[in-house]
Amino acid sequence: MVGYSGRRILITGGTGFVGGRLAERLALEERAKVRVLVHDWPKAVWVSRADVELVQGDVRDMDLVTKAMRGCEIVFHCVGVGGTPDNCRSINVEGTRNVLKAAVDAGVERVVYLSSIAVHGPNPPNNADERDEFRLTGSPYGDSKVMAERLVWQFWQEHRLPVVVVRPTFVWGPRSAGFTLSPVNGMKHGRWFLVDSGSGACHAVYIDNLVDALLLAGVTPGAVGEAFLITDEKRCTWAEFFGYYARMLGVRKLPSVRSDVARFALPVTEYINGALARFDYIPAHEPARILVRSVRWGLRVTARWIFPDDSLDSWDLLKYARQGQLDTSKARTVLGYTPRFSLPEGMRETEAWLRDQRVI
Amino acid sequence: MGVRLAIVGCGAVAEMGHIPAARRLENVFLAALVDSDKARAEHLAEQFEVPKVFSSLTEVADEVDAVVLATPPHVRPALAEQAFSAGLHVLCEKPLANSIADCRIILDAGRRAKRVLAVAHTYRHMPNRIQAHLLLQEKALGTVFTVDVEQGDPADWPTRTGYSVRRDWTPGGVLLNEGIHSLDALFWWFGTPLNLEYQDDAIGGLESNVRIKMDFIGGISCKFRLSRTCKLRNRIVIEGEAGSLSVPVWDQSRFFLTRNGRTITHNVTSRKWDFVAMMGEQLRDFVVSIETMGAPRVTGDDGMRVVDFIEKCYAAKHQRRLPERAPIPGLTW
Repeated sequence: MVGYSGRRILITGGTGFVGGRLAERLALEERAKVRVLVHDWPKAVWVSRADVELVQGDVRDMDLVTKAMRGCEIVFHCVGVGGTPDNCRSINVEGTRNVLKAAVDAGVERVVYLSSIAVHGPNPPNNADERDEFRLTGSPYGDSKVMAERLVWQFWQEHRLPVVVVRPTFVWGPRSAGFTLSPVNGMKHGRWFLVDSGSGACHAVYIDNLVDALLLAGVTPGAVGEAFLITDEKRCTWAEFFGYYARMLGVRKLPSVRSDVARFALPVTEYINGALARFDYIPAHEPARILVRSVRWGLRVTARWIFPDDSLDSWDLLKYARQGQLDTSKARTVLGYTPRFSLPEGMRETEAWLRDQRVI
Repeated sequence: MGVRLAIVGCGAVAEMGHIPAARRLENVFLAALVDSDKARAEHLAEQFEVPKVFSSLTEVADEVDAVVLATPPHVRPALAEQAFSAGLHVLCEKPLANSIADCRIILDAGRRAKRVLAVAHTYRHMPNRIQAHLLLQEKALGTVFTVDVEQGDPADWPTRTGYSVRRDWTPGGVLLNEGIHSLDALFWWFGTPLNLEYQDDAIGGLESNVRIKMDFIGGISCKFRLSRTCKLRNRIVIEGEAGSLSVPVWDQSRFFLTRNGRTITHNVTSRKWDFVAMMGEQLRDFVVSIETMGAPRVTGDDGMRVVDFIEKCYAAKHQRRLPERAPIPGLTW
């Protein structure tokens, strides 16, 4: 136990992957009094398994955030969404502003903000650490995380709000959409491609390792006003990482795309797919209807012919092709963070979950 | 004019089921909607052209003959007592109540008032389940050996209050709220189980994954797997000495009968899933009961029997100590 027993904790994003696991571990292992802000009730079926208080809310609604924060000592702000620029801005940026304002008003002891490696862009330089610059790249998600983190530091400087920022890399494990479910489902349908045969450096982080780091961030005295990059113990290659999933599925060899080819092909396919998404008008009557649908189908087939992996975007390409190290020593020295789960151990847990939930 | 009806509770099930079903029936006059959130009731009344709106059941008592209680379960015992005291017949959403004690309050109030109490175990009105029941009564499978139930889909019910995940409102999760339908079907077909072994994934809260083993009279052993986090096969498979019967959980249109190694698909209706039609059938059955003062297809005793079993499941789980470390999410223990 780290030191949360009996303490009142608010978690935003507690119905999600990271916030949900944090909530159940805080409630069960740390005996904390956990309150979870719930925006979408059906999504609460995971976190409601634990002894937590669920309150209806939305980080975009200042009144609801203020109400939810009453009586809380520590706040874990874990809400984060992808999608449209509007969604990213209103939830990730303005939602964070509301949480920070409410935290100042409530006089909470500490706010732990779940940021992301995305603030450093898709391919930070070799040996990058927490001091690496923020990069605005045009990605709605990445840019919104940069803007949200800037707000966090602004509140630290201007209001002396005690904040800790945790920047995980690629979070995988049971319930991970991006780095477990997507690749597994992609591989099941033959639609998961390695980049450059998976030779890029994979600095992923297993969910329970990340939660260990978050728990430490919430109580470690020297952590306030600091940011921490969090990864697993050892880096591996993406081929090794995704190879675990392939073996679970009995897939012998994953197809690969070359990053130098993809660099030219992707903008074309992204343009086509973007245009298809923007111009989604389908006429109500024939023959215009069949004509438009045929053109759309043709464009989709062409895009797939130019570049076969329609789940990959330019950001992913840079991420998966990146070589080099990350320096995560600060989390070890300041937080005392040591990853408990190795890659094989985490994969064993993940496989058990995937089988239990009938994904594989 | 038929039966004058009010629907109490204007959440998702009222909007998607009870109200449109009531509007379709000729011998039902939907006179009023009741909800403590009057604005919500007014919104639905406008949408479905229901003449009156009230914020409490007492206000509507003089205007109707019967009520549908479509509220969250924790408030139903008090509402049922009010309705029966006012001489109204009651169709109660499932679960009948959150506990056996609350079920008894409702049943006793109904008996005292000599009014009809029906329970919305809606899937009993699925044409393929009714056919399955007839086949089992006819011993079409000979002696039944095993039953294997799998019911599961990621939760997406557009609940307005979130009651089914809120421990302050309900004592149970997926078993009490979704599993109750398949349990009710099993008990309808095979009677009350003789024993049970129960596991779920709750770690101090409400379960979202469940595994039960139980035996019925006649040496029928049953495995029951339930989830609101993942997609399962969604079927009830009954194996007997003369063949097997597979009944889809969500597809009401057909069932599969295998005999002598040959599987035949039996189509019993054209629509795979018609929630409003099912709710309409349920309401029609309720109205017939009112008119004849006969028993509805799902009685209060049926509703209480399932709640009793579920309470025993939870009691079995509560005898175990919580694990020290959070298990893998969803894994039952």
